[in-house]
Amino acid sequence: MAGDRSQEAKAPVLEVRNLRVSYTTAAGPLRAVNGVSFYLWPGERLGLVGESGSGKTTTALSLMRLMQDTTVVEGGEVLLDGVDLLKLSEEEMRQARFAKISLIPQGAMNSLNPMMKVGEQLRDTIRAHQPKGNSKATIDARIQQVLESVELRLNVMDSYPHELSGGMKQRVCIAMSILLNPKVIIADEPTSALDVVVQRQVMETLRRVQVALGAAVILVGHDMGLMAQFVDRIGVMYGGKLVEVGPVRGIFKDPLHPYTQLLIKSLPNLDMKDVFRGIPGLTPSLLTPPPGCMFHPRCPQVIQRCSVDIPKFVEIKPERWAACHLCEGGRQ
Amino acid sequence: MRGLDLRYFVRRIGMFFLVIFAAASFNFLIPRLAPGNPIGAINSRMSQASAGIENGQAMFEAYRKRFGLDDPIYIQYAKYMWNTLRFDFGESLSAYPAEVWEIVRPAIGWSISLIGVSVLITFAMGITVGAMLAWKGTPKLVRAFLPITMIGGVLPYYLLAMLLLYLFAFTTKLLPMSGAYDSGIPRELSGPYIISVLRHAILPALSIILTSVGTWALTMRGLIVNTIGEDYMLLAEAKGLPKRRILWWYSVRNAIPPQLTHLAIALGYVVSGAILVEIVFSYPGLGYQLYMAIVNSDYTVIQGITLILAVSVGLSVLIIDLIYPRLDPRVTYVAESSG
Ligand SMILES: Nc1ncnc2c1ncn2[C@@H]1O[C@H](COP(=O)(O)OP(=O)(O)O)[C@@H](O)[C@H]1O
Ligand SMILES: [Mg+2]
Repeated sequence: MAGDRSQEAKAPVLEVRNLRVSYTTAAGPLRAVNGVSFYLWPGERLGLVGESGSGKTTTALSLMRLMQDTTVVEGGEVLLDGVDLLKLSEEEMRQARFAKISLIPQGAMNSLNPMMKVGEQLRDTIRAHQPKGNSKATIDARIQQVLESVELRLNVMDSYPHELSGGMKQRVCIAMSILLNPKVIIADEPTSALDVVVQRQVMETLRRVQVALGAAVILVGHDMGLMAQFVDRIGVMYGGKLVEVGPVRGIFKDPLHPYTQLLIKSLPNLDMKDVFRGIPGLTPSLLTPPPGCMFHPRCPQVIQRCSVDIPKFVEIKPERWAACHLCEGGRQ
Repeated sequence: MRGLDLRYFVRRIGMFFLVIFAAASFNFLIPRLAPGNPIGAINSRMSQASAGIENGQAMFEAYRKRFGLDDPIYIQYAKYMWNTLRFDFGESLSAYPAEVWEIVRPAIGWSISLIGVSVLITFAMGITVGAMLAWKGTPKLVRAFLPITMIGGVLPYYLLAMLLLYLFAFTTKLLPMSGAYDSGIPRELSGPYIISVLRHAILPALSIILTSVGTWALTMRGLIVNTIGEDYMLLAEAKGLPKRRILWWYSVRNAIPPQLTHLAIALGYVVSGAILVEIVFSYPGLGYQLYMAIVNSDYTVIQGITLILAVSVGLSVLIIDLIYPRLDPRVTYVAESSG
């Protein structure tokens, strides 16, 4: 599968280096993404997990340079096929969106324009990226293809978004994201608003079209259980930083970072069905972050060094990356 | 039509006629209930007028009969309703024997064309200016000029009307002072007549447009800014749509429906809304005729115009109601199945 050793010889399709993004607030800069680095192999599925507010959405949107007025990219590189997206002109970036890197947004329930028929919203996506000459028939043929691949009937094209169910809207968003054969698809909590049954169906669909297309996926979510069934590798975010990245199997068998260990322990398992053990303590303030490791105030294994030095994000053993003084010292 | 079933349609039209019926009834009742009974006033005016005339009393009696004032009230009411149905509002009291309808009908035309068109222009301008105010991509030079559209809004419109009149008609004589057309030109669809009508409409239209476009623009800007945080705006940008497409088809498109209700009301008040402008420019629309009728205590004309006012408000709300599902696909009017 993707993420195998055989893939490693190839170049990653996406490489993020030391990405730093902040929001300008009245109380000063809020560092939402603070030095995030990872890579993504072609066709691979990478999951990004972390508590709410850990910077997953900001990371995801920054990769496509989707900014608000207050967003400041303070540094880093986002290399897509070796080209730094952060250095493209506005127009070049616009052209890259959905053609090379696409998004299945977090608020999928309200992500379609309520005033426009679904078909028109799919068409304008294509038109924004293709020469004017393309006939409507050609465009519609492609749309019909992708609608079939996400198991939607063609008559959704003539529907308005409010006439569709949540699952159908999400499928429309998936169809839209593959319309232009992108290399990378970012799915930001694509199923969080759906009920469990529909959630699984939609995830299955997403997996199927992604495999067929050979695109790589970054799946953002907070449900590690769901994530584990879907992705090849997992990246764990905490306080705007990646604290651990590794293959699913390895992370579940032998989590390196104390935060990952707690996350996995807090998963509801078969023995103790309804007992959900949260992680004690509060999420760190991103305006006035604690010195040293972001996690040290909540860490059960904290040592003296943790409140002084910021741990480096390094490859502890093959394919296993983590930012923790304990593993650095213990396993190197 | 989508979002509209026949039963709802029929019911909504029925509602409209019910409202008109009620308005007509009030229109009949109120003058008869008011202190200083207008019928008495008419009587006394007539008796005064007839005092010096031979057979004055007989003539007065004939008038009473002529206007049906001897009949019991319910007969008067039935006659009034029947006549109203046929647009027969009786004769003008001050311009007798001219029919009220003859006075009112041309005025309706002038009001609808002057004020109706001005309101629609204002609406379109308000949307455009509001969109440009809200949009980050607006060129700086254009943005610098936008606040000018707000200036008109701080003046009462009759003041602006007088200012325009003074500058463009009185001082420079660029445009005519008053009326709706040059009386020297034959009233037919000819080039000179149309030009004359347009020249007469410019100043009154400008004073309506300039004083209200700012308010529309500010409301529009607010509605557009509200759309910026919406999820569909993020996806629109993520899709790589050009900025203009996002502005007009995603942002503005979503901001327009809430404005339509205001438009319906503004159009409904076409008649009364611009009385002062019509007076300043002696523009022979409904507002001007209403004013003249009040000055002359011409009750039948007043009655005719107030009824038309009620009809125009009812009608424009009806029209917007019926086309709303076309403009906002989420709104559907389907009569809930009874039972
Ligand atoms: N527009 C914004 N302005 C200021 N702070 C923001 C804004 N958007 C997000 N944040 C903050 O940035 C941090 C990361 O948010 P986000 O990326 O949405 O996290 P996640 O997706 O993991 O929940 C949070 O602390 C959040 O409060
Ligand atoms: Mg999020």
